[in-house]
Amino acid sequence: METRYPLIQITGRSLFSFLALLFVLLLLWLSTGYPPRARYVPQLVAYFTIICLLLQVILDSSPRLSALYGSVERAELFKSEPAGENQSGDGPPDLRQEITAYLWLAGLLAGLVLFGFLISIPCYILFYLRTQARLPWLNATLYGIGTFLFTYLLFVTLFEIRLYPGFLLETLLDF
Amino acid sequence: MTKKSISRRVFLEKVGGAVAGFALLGPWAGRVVAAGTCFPSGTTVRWIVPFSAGGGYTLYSRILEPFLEDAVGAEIVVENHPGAGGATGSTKLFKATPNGRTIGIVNAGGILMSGIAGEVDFTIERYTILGRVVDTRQVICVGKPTFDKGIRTIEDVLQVKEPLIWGVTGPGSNEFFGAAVLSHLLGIKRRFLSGYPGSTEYVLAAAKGEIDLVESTFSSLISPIEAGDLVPLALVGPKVPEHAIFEKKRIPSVMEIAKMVGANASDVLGAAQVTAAGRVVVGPPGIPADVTKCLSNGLYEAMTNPGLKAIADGARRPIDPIGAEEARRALLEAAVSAKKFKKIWQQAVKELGT
Amino acid sequence: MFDSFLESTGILFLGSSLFGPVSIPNIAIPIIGTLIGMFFGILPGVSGVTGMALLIPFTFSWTLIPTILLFGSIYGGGTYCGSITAILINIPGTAPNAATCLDGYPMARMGEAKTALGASAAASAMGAAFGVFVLIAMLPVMRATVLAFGPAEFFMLAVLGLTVIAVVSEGNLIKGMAAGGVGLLLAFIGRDPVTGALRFTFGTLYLQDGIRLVPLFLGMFAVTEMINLAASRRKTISGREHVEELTGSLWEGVLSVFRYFGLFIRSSILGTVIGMIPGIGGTVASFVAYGHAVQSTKDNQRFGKGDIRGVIAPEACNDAKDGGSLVPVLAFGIPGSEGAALVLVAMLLHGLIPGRELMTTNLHLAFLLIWALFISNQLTSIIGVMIINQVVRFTVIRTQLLVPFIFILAVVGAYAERTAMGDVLLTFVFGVLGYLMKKHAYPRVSLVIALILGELFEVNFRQAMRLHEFGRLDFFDRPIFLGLVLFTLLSVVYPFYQSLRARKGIGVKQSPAGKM
Repeated sequence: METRYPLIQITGRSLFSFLALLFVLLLLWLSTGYPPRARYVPQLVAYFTIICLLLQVILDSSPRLSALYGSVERAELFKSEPAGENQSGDGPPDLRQEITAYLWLAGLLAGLVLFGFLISIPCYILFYLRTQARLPWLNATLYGIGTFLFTYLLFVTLFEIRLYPGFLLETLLDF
Repeated sequence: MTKKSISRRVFLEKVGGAVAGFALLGPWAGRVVAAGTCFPSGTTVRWIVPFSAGGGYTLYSRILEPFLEDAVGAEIVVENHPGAGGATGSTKLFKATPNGRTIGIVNAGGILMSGIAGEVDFTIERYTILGRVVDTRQVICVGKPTFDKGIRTIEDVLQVKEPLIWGVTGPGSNEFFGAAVLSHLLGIKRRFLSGYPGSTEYVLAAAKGEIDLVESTFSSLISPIEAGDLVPLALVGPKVPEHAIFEKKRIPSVMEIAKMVGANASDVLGAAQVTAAGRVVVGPPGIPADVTKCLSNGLYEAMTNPGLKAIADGARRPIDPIGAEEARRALLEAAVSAKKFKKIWQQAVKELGT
Repeated sequence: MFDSFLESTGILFLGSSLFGPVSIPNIAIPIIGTLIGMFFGILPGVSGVTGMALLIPFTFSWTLIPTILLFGSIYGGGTYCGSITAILINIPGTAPNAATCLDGYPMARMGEAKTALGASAAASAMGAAFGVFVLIAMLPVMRATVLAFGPAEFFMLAVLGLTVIAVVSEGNLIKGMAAGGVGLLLAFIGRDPVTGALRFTFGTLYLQDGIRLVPLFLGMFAVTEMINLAASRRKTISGREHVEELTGSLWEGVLSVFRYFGLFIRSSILGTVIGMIPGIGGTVASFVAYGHAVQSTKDNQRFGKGDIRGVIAPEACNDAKDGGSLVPVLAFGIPGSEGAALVLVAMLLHGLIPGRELMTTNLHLAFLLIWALFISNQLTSIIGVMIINQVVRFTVIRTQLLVPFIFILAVVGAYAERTAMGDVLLTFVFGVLGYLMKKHAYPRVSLVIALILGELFEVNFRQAMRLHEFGRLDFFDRPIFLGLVLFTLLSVVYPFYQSLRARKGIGVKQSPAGKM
């Protein structure tokens, strides 16, 4: 019996394609204010990309049309694709773990912006290894100190690169 | 001070610094330098370079570093902050705390260009000017293929019927300002071909005959001139570079050409001053007067050190230092000229876009 | 010429240099330089250029010969090391190593890191040797070769590179083209080089320079993969927990270069030629080589999934390019890259003038520079091979232990290049974008290729049209341009012709986009 696919189904995938389309439309709109020779090629590329993305939004939002077209987009995550993504069979990611990964990343970024490299880096290592890798406090602390020393000796002392001290320290202590 | 003793001391300082840094930890650890003249012993001064590590500004900074450390009595730490054609680092420098512990080297002409383009809200003369390392006086050259076709002198350039093609990087550069304004004032028929990433690329284009004219600093063009790929036609400014080529054959300056064609020679000199504005050492506005005086004296002492001149000459990066006051006056004049020719420049920029 | 070569060989192997009271054999200097170059090359965001810039004042008191040997070997030492991290942990040590990530890292994920590293070492060493030999052979015609390339040729090279998007996207063609289009648009961010107009900068100073390659690669490769590892149930990069479980071998990798010898030669030629032309750069070269490998080989479905040819091509190209990039320095005194610029500075500082004088009266010194480059390229591969068994352990380390350190390496590397926090933020942005693209089956490689080639494509197109307008460019009078047009057409037609034949031959009806 032939499977009957729904005509419209909004998924994360179709949303992503739609956001990409909005982004390109924004760039097209911005380009209208540039000198003629500066906007010519970007506009050509934008028109072409908009057509591709429109088609893709339709395909991603309509499993029935997608099946007719012959695409394998079935609103499933992590289908392998020619550009070589994930062909070793990891399966779809755990949503909780995905969100955890994003949160740790956001935390690292916030730490870097507020407290700078030399404070955030060892703290991040320490807490990540303690909570995610479940290392004992002592081991995690040693790794944190080691990372701090490595970063400092290499980048500050040897390369003479001034690592960003963080917005808070920069403002309060006038670095 | 000999080159040998400088480099040995620098080496020992680097090793000592690594050990001290490890022992003391924290960003406050610094190397021990000679007893201070401008600052307390052990002070670190940040030297901002608004360009990347591989370029001429960094090279000048690294050559100057040991001499300046001795002269001002502080450790100089060179920091590269490239971006936006120098505007990122220059802005950082402008907004730094004015305590004398953050200074740097900037492209004065580039800041003038950013100012007239309205891209930065500060101008060069608002910085605390400490001195000028070298001016960026330029020379206009013709490519060898064009030379072979009969454009051999500036008179030939002035007499062409069809516009010549002038290769430039883009509107933000000093050399584009010079090309745009001087060609207008002197009546040179030209069309610009822009978009070259740097002088390397438009020099090659001239060597191939794709374009006819180029303008850049003498130090950038000396190798292709010596190789015969470019032939100098005119000096943008009154000073003649110290080189055998200019002793062998007299190259006119743009002021002399102005007199020849009946243009206003002082206008032309003004435009030349903008392009030659130079590599200038500055600090943020508001550095206390005593610190400014100490830094500028120390800088001048470093720049006029014969040891430094020997190294710089060897690297084909000439030093032509002037002190703080003289540099400030020259930059004020250049700023006035930049504003004066803003409309001509804007017209040329518009041509590029249409 | 042969006399100069012999003279330089004698200086290198039999001579020594004085450093104060100490005399060091000259052969030791390129070894030290190589180690320095390797050290800088393995760290993302920092390259041999940083090392050379730091060392310049240190060498003021040196004589010419040790300076040439040191800088030449640092220059060559940085190239290979970046591919070790590219293969093992998907972090390209330098931007030109990014193309190696595309198949090198998938091979590590399959437990075949040793094979990938072996192929990389062999392709690098042999590619470097090829580049050096070609450089020497081309000494008499260097000038003419460099002058033969102009905007029309650069534009066609960019088009050739962009056509790869169609091939790597086969099966997902619309998404691939869309990703490529977005990549091109991202490439236009910043100051338009031709008119000076600021495009898509949203009023920020940071975006005036456009999207930098280091945050792009660190984000889209390293951060994306680390998010992927953190979010998946994968225990280690290779999926194995013990080194003994890893498959493949060093020798399998080395022998593969000989198995695909034709590809190796073509990639090395590409690297040498592109290296010779200032203004193109190593990143473009390695991606063009990768693209050529995809387009020119019969069964190319495995590219991007761990095909060893995807390692051989960019690696050979990358190292062959080092030799080529010295051509404009030696011939014109014009540096083709930042590294070459510092080599030039080091030469000038000691009174060695490039150009005619170097290529005639001081030719032995030019050979000395070439020797330094050759030795460093070979030495990095030898050292790489020696440490293979130690470095592959990275692929069996628990992901929760590995992920935080790689994130740190990525952010510090992103910051180190220009000390701009904007680069760190951009790394995160591309990291998340890359992960979402991966999740929703948009090929990252298409976006990356288009972003790298965008400026080359647009600026040279506009310059070529302008020159044509000025009557300075006759497209039909440029044999290299015409050759590239033909080659590009063949590159596009050939893979589709092959797949059509394959479908007819197998007799299976496949939907046009259904290559899953």
